[in-house]
Amino acid sequence: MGIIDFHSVTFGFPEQAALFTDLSLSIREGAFYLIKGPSGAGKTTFLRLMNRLEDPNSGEIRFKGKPLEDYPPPRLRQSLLYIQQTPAVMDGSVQENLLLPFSFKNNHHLKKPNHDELENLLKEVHLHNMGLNEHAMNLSVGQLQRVCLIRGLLLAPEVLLLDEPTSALDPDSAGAVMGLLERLNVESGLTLLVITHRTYTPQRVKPRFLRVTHGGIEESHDP
Amino acid sequence: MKFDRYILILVLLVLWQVLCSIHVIPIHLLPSPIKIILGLKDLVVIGMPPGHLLPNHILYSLYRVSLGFLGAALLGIPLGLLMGWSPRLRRITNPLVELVRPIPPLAWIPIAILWFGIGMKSAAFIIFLGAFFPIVLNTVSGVLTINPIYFEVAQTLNAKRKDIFFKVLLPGAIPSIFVGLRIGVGIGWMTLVAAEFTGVRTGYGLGYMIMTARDIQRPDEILAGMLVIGLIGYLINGGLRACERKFVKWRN
Repeated sequence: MGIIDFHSVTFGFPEQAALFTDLSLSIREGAFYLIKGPSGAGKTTFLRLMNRLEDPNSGEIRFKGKPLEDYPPPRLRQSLLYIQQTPAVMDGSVQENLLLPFSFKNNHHLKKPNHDELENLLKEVHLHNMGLNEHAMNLSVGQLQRVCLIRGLLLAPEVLLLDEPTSALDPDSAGAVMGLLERLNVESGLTLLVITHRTYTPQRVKPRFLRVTHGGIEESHDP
Repeated sequence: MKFDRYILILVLLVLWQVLCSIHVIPIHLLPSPIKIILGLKDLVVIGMPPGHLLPNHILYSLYRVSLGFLGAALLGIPLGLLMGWSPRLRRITNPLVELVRPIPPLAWIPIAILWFGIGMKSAAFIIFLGAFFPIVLNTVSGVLTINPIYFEVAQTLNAKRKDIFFKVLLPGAIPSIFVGLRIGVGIGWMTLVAAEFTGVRTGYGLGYMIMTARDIQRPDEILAGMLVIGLIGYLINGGLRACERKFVKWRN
């Protein structure tokens, strides 16, 4: 049993061919998965199914042995945090955006990070020159992607589902982001599923590969 | 240049004054700008009718507009937010809104008098009707134009429905809400004069003042009253724009 298990999952959007048919697979706790596959094959949908932004047409997905439906959605979404490819920020400073989730009642039990912790995380993803008071609407897409990643990490998820987190980044910044993810995987045992089209060689972890094809997902040890 | 936007007004005023001075424009139909300014002075010092001074007319009119406009905003914004939020509520309320909306506020005057009598309430009701629909419809459209990704991101960041409503939907709709407020107050202010034509018990109000000036054949004071209405409308719009800039930071 993995931390997440798919049992005979079939899913397709209405009036379209099924993206997954009778899909069964296990996601191992503490593993670092890189998800590859052609556009439209269902990579994003695969992540959204785990976050219950979509529900299977048939079959079952389990998290820690319990069906996803048994968890209250907020509790589930904090544990299996999904970060979209398109960064979305509110009208406000970087700090206001990073702390936005802590203003939600469901997150009041979580420890709010202090100023230094926020700055250190920004530094780690090469956002040294960006002040916390800078207006988020003035940032580039690449900067926003990193801000949104940090905003999600602050909720201390057990599994992080990332949709192309480095798509708008230059190679250096992309390396820094992947470095941060590797560190969290190694030091905190964070389970990671990352959709990426980039070729990158992890430094500290040995990733697993999930290849999403039309109809299913194959696991492999090679890219 | 900072003042270039006033050049056209200045040129027109000068031209107007010259045409009046050489009697091209008959001043009993259109008094000259200087005559209107003198009429404005009379309205401030003597009043129309005498003793009913311009500042008091302004205050009463502002009070009526404020009542109608505040009522429209207090009802219109929450209703617009809820209609934008809930497709079902939108489906249920849309036919009614679309049926009542095209009825000009002035067409409500007879029924307003029947319901509320002549006075403050009926005038405020007419202004309310003028302001209400632009506020509701702009608020709905503001909610509908929020990119759905924001709702999804809030959802994935663990937000409750209440959090999504107050921290995503409301801030996202604010720019459109302000557009609705500005249009609403503009229409409300325009409706005011007509609403005051229905009669005012207090003897105060810019519409009432203009009608009295008409009764005693003072076109200079009629136009001075119109000028005051235009200026106040301009200032209210400017005030709302300033609030908008404060609330909608990213537009700066």
